[in-house]
Amino acid sequence: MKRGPMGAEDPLLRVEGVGKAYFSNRVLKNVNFTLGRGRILGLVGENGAGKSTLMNILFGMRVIQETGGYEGKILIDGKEVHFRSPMDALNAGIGMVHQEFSLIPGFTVAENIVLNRETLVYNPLVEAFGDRLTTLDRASMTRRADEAISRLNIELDSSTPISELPVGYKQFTEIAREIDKKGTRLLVLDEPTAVLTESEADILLDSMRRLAAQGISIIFISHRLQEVMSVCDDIVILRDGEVVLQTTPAETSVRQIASAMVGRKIDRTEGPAEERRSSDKVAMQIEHLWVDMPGETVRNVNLTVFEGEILGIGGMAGQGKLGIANGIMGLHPAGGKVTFHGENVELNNPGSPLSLGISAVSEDRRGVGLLLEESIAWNIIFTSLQTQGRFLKSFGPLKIRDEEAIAECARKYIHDLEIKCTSEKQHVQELSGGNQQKVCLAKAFETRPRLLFVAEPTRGIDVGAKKVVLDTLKRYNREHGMTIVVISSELEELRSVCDRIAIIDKGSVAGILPASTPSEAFGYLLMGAGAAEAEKAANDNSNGTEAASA
Amino acid sequence: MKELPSRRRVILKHILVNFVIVLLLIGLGVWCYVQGKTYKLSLGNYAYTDQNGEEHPALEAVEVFIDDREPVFLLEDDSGTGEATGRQHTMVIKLLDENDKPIESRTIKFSVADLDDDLDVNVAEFWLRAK
Amino acid sequence: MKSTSGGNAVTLFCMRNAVPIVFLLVSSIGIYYSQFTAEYLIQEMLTRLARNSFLVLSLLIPIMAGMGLNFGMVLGAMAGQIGLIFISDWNVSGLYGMTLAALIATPLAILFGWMCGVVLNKARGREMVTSYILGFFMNGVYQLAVLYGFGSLVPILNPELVLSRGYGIRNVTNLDNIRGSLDNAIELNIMGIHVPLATFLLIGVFCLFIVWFRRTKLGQDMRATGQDLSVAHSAGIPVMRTRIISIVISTVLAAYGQIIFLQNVGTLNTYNSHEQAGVFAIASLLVGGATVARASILNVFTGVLLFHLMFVVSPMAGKYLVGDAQIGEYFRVFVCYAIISLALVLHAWRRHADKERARAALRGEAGGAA
Repeated sequence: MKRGPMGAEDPLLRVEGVGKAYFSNRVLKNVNFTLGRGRILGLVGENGAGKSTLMNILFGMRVIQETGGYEGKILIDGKEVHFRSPMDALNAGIGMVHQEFSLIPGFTVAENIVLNRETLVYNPLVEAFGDRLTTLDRASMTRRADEAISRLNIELDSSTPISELPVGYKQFTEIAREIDKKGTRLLVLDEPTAVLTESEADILLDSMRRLAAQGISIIFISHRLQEVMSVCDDIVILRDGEVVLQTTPAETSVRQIASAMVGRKIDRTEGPAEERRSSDKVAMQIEHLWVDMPGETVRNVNLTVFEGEILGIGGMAGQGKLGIANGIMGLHPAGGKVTFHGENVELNNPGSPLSLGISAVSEDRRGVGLLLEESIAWNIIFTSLQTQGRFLKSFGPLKIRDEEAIAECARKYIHDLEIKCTSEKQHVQELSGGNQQKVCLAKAFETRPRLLFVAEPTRGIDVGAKKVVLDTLKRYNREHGMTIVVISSELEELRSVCDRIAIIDKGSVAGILPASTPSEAFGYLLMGAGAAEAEKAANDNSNGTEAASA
Repeated sequence: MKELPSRRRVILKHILVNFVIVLLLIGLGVWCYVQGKTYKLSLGNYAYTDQNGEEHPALEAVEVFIDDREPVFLLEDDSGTGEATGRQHTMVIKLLDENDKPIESRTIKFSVADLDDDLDVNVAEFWLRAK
Repeated sequence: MKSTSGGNAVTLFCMRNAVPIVFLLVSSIGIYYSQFTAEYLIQEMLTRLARNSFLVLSLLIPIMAGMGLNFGMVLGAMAGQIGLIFISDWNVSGLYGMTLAALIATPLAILFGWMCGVVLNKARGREMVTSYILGFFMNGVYQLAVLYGFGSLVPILNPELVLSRGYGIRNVTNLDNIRGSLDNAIELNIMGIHVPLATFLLIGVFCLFIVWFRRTKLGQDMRATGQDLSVAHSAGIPVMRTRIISIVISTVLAAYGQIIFLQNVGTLNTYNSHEQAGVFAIASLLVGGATVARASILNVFTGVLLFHLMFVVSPMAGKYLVGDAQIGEYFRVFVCYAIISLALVLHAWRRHADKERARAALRGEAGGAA
């Protein structure tokens, strides 16, 4: 299996100058690459780098057309194509295996592989009642399924019900389904190893090599560095919607990919945080935390949060970073041991962390963070009122709201955080995203927490508001000594605000580094390389070798 | 596998087949109606005058069997109701003696279409026509 | 996760089939106290099996398609009854009458079923409640038609069927013309017990139909739709149409089932006979161990047997035990609704637990340790 240079005459897929902007927000710009027959292309990039958008364009997803189409050309076998729907892409021979499984749990592997493409046997009733009264030819179905499975070279009994399969084999079934479709020439695998164990991942990579040898081209989207290096013929790295590096495993190194992926953002607001001696006192100790949050499963997180520090938690989407805070705050089933200043935090009980002085600003501000149809003032004091009994006046046995105190408190925050509104009485749903976020922060601050979780603090906010939010966090930390844990998918944001940053991969901590460590080291952790490698990169980089950007 | 005909042909074929099936079912319904309709016949045992002007008396006592049903017992100038399902029927008339024992039995086949609107059957008349 | 030891297997069996087992126990006690003879009970059970099985079998297909318990089968029962009103009016008797009633009921049932299916598609996730209420609504429409339309707009020839005011069907319609015609079509007597062989043959044919149906593409599509609507949809299966088809089939079969039922009873309570058809059939199915998501032919027959055993036995058992036969009456109505509530609650709980278990599979080692 020789691996020659990229492309050749008549490649299977050529992407020329493809770009996409969602209204004013540009997510892809001038993407060019080529994919030959039987070759495996690795597509690498951080969250938000544009991978999903690129695949949506390739696959003809409706959302692309509904938001203004795309620029550039996509050519298959040298001819330009315009896919208007996933059916078009399927008919052209492009198959996609998503991260969420598309399997019928009660059906067997064989039935799922041939789903809605079963082999049918004619019988006369078809004339009267239509095609769907044909009977299934189960023998043929089993044969097709077994054939697809053997092409993958895995051990799988096609008569097993899907519900009894381990997760990795469900993935294989999905891939087998795409292979069974006649004419599949290009297979897109979107983070297939995310849910696999080590051994299953090895089997998958081996299957990919086999399929490539049989002439099927593969686009392998992954952030697992070793896997990409091990199996791909070509590697394309996206960052901020542009191709920053195109190379082959032979011509590149782990370090180069990591730094290309993470790179350095052009408009960084501040340099790494000034040297601060952090306290040795432990604010929160997290041991063996698991959280069952759909999409952000936490498996085994061990973390120490020191008093007075700003700790950052980063990681790729779906790896579990959002689950940590939500689990501790009792929003999702969780287990393990969490202590706060020596006291045990009761999990699965939202009242416990709140009463101990732990607050959180959720990443889901509209769903969890705000009472949309209530006023700003009410939102700001709500948690404090409920859990701490403040803002109330007693009238004999009854307690009623102290409207004056509430309004005054709200006005203070409106001033401090520069919340743009008509008055503290305005309904929160009328505010812009940035101002809504500020209300959420105000609400959390008002509970006077000793430890504050803030998840995705600047998501969906304009640049000016971003600065205000981050500065406010720093101010509360410096002035009030509030311990803050910031969870964010933007590495540079974390590096500008935090003292230390922990990277979460596959539901557990991949490594913790000081924020001043150059980005490349974090790139390693994000890609699932070991913590040791990251440390090494950190130390090497302090000698001044900078990352190459395209 | 034979080559697929055009979609229009297939749809037309479906419509035709379904139409035929509906027709067959309607036909079945009509046939069931005809075969299953149960008529209530008014059985009478009266004296009557035939076409030639001859007078015939009513029968003394008879048992009327229509199609293996329970017999209807009629005396002179008596009336009763009998049920008959379908169009063609076989009537067995048994003439009874004083002890209500059958002395003579005659069979006649008739159709409901032969009867008048009130479905009157004069058993005495039928007796003469029967064999 | 899979327990293979013998003791666990027995516990699992008991848990899965808790309801039929409880019914069997209670019925056994009831049999003892009711002092019925075995011969009487066997005859009663055979009669009731023949009478009710078709109706209960019609519930299987919507469950397969994920529509839950089809309370809308009442619409089919009404269609069947309208057919019976006509043949009663025209006095068509015997198997001819039954066939004709079925032929008249079929287009009506298809229409009702299609309507019901369209409405249920709009109420995705809440099909059962919607079909229940739809049953009430259609009951109103049926009464409007039968109480006012028949005899005025729809000509009724036989004055015996019509109310004294001149239009509207009487409360009780005599079905003497078809009484027992299917049951007695083929005579079979075993040791003095009359077996309605023809009915059982028809039921057998229906069972074969169900078995064959599961092996067709349409049946497979229904199973896929029933298990996971979004996956089936993204695979290209026309899920909305498939769901409607399942309801249409069920309604038509319910119409036939009601005709068979009434043929055995011999009398049509024009305004009441259909009301309990749905609830009793569904309760029977659930008693047989079926759930909202899964039901088999075995559940049908077991359920009809156990449910009606309770029906027959409880009044007499109540009389001898407590001195009041009414207790039996209350008991069986209570049991009906209790069993349906239980099944619905269990279903919701189990769906929730399944989702949790599926996600738990993604947890790491720490999850197991916790």
